[in-house]
Amino acid sequence: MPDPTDHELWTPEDDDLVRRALLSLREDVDHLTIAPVETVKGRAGRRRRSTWMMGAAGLAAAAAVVGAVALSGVLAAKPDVTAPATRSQVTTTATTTRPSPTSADAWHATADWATLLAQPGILPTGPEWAATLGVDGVTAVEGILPTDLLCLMTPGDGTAVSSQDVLIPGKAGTLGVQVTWIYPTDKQAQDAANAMREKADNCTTPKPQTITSVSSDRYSEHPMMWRFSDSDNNSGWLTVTDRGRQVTYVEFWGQTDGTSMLTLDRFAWITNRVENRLERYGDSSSAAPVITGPDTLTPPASLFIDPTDFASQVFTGGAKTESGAGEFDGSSAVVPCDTDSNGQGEFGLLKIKLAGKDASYFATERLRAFADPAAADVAATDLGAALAACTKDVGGNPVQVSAGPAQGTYAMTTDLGSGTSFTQFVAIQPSADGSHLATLVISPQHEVDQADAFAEVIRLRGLAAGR
Amino acid sequence: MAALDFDTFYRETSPRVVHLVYATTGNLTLAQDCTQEAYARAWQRWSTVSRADDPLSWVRTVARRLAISQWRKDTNRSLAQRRLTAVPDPPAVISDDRRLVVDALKALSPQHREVLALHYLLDMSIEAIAEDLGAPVGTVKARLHHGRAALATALREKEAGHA
Repeated sequence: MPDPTDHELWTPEDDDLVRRALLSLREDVDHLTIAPVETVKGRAGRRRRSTWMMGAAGLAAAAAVVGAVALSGVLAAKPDVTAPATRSQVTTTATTTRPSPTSADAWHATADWATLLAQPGILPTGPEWAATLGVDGVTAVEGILPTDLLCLMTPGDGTAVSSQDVLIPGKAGTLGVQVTWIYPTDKQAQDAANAMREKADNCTTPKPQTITSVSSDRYSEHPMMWRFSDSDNNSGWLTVTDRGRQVTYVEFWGQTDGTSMLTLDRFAWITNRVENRLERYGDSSSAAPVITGPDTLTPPASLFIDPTDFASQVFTGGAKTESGAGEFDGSSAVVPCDTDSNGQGEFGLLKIKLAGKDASYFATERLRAFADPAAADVAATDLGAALAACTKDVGGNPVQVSAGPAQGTYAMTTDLGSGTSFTQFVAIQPSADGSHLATLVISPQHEVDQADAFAEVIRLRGLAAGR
Repeated sequence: MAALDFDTFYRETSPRVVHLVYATTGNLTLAQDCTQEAYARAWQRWSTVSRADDPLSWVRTVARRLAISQWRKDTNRSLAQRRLTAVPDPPAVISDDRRLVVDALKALSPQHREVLALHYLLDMSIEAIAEDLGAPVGTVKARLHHGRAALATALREKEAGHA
């Protein structure tokens, strides 16, 4: 029930208004045609991964629904060895698997792995999966963050950076899921990964029926991998890998209906790709950036420019930079005439200073989240127009604005009187997917050449676009 | 037995879950999709979920998490892409009367909407919401108070503009 003792922000009338408004939404729901239960069950059956997870009672009842999928041969037979189904056999396979000079190397030699790795992404890409599996057209697409990790694993305090489904042409459902989480510190990432591994090593859930740690040092030192299987001749592979502040979980159903799609050797290669991508594309900064914002409603730190990237000859004389603590003062405004100033919604402020020096703040990145991708572009246009037309700051001081050499860049000079003024360089950059709008404001602590300053601002804007 | 129980459970409870997720997201189509996915997941492990103390709570939580997660992942990703072979449902139709409410809701963050929905639609206390979300009581209280005030303000502004 509403708390009647705290009305500093709202009134009983507000309470009644909000309640009526939310309850009124039920009328839209009542006008819907709720999907038939068969549709829901069919949806469950379409996901091969979930079919594997299905309990015995559910499996029996849903047999008619999923039967066609199962009997159609969800996975094509591959020439790889059929993986064993029992714990002891799996262990034997793992410990005796060594590089094969023939078949194993043949698939490995078919791809230009360096070129594939150059394609950015924190998780193995579709082409990497395709080359590893020997199947054309495999894709890794962003999906719903799974809430049903094997053995009831949980990522702890991690923030999901990317969650993808691995899809194979002609195969129903999702055969693999891969997720990367980021943590505030390396230690927290290691602890979370170890806790997940502990769950795998001491699995208490009915399924998988067996899950056994396996090893192959062909491509990496001590990769953390498991083989799992159930009583229905389905099995798969799991890896939990951590590097720096990130943890990546990959789960792949490599075998159903008695046919194997992924050998230990190939899964070890996927695990190696995971490691390489974490090292190459992961956040390598040792400390989490300090993001200031409303309550907990701030975008993840991984979406901001790395604080160390603000170091430059023009603005810091080559000195290193870091993020600094800052109290949120209730406003989201970062420049004069800012159209984003009400402090509402999801946004964060990254405030940059010289490393190890207090009172040396010179840059701010504001990142505003948008639910509607088109809204970020609209907000960018509105903000740009407001800045271009700006003549006074909030204190009434005259402001002169000049457009920079690239769209969305500005120099704003505020006249404080008595011959004193200062110039801020601004860049506005929506993210590629339209989910965020970055506003960069650089306030040089010394005289700078404007052309050099804009060149540096444009470099930073490029970094923002790539986050 | 399990199939019959699930069928009844789904028919009797799914509108309430759609309503909750609709209020949490302001998106009726997303609410339908996430609710359907949550029930599909419940069906996949119905032998376990049906024995839980509160199966509806399980479904509600999964649906809400899916919706919040999807919001975070950005709404420009195609639902059809995620749903693989699923046949897309036609877009849900929102009445003009509720458009004002939905627009006001979308001015809030998903976290504020979630707290408001739990509080007003499920009559959950601040403490219960905090436990459900795994968030500090103070955080939930702040979200509720700010969210309530912001939504009321937005509703009045939109009503005034509509008039």
